[in-house]
Amino acid sequence: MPRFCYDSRGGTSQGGFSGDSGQGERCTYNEKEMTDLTDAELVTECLGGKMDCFAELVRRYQDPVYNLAYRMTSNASEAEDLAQEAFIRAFRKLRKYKPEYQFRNWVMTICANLTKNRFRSVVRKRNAEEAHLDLYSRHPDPMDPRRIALEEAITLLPRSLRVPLVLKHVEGMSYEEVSGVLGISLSAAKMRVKRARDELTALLGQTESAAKEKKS
Amino acid sequence: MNGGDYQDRQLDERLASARMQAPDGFASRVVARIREEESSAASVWSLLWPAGQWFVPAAAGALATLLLVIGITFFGRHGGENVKVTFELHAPDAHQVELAGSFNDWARGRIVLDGPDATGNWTATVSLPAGRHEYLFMVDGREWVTDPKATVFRPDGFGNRNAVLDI
Repeated sequence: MPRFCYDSRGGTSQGGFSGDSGQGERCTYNEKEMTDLTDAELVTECLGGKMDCFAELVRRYQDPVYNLAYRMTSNASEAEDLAQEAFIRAFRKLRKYKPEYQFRNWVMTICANLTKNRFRSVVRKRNAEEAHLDLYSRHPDPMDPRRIALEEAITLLPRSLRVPLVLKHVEGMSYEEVSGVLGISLSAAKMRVKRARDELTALLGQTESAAKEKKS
Repeated sequence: MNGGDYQDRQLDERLASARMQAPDGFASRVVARIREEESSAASVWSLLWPAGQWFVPAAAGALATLLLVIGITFFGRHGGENVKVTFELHAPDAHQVELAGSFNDWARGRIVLDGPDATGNWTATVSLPAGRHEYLFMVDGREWVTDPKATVFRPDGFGNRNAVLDI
């Protein structure tokens, strides 16, 4: 496990930084320098004991990892817990990281596997109840009816279609990346995204025409 | 542009804006959790090894050794949960083969296989607790190799697969 360089800012990124690890190492990155580093360089620095470099990696990829966990669980607090756990496991396995692969995809694979395992033990029962969850209460912008309709339609998709769709069209991943993160074949990834799009279009058509009828 | 293309483009645009953002302070909480784990491990160590008090760890070590000897003598394998597992890789041209896995936090250099024998095999026997373990071989310090004799695999996130061992 890499040694740490403790900072005094609670891991946030606000300007320059210089802290003593207590082990004779100094951290001397400021925010600008850190954002200039590649993922592979940040990993190398982190393995050398600079914890602020790992915090920068988390900040870079927290949104896609959280988004994946959220789309898999449909539960905000569970998603945060799983996304945090994915980064912590990545930190523990950092020596195994290969620079030729994208750090984002690696953490997302860890997150997908973690979530699948948790689903096996806990969430099976909840799947049946999922459709009854209050979509509005966990929506980030309850004022936008088009976004609400989209969220509702995405949630109604089965998880096996929802997650590939989100990785492809929300995260902008290639089909190869989708297949790698979810551990499915390339043809399965393409087929699931296609089916998800078709089902989503149909669901959006239904909900939006129902809304129009209600208005008129 | 036909109606289908227009509809597709509209859907793409709507989906592109549907990313959920991590809650505020997410990165700080991850770092805090890692630090917490590290510091609790460190405080356990400092309790066992107070500065300048060598008799405490010495006595604890002697007691642990005594218990281990008694355990092995009287209970053998039946008394413990660990199982000895021999890992083997056929790599006649390799100069060094290491074993890394979930059981040692994927640390390299700790488990080095003996070999090659006359048939080109490298072997290491490791004592592992019951449960599921993932592992890989590192050949000549530069290439991760999946155990060709394994029967269960799991994606490693790099496009390769880890071998899985269930004990």
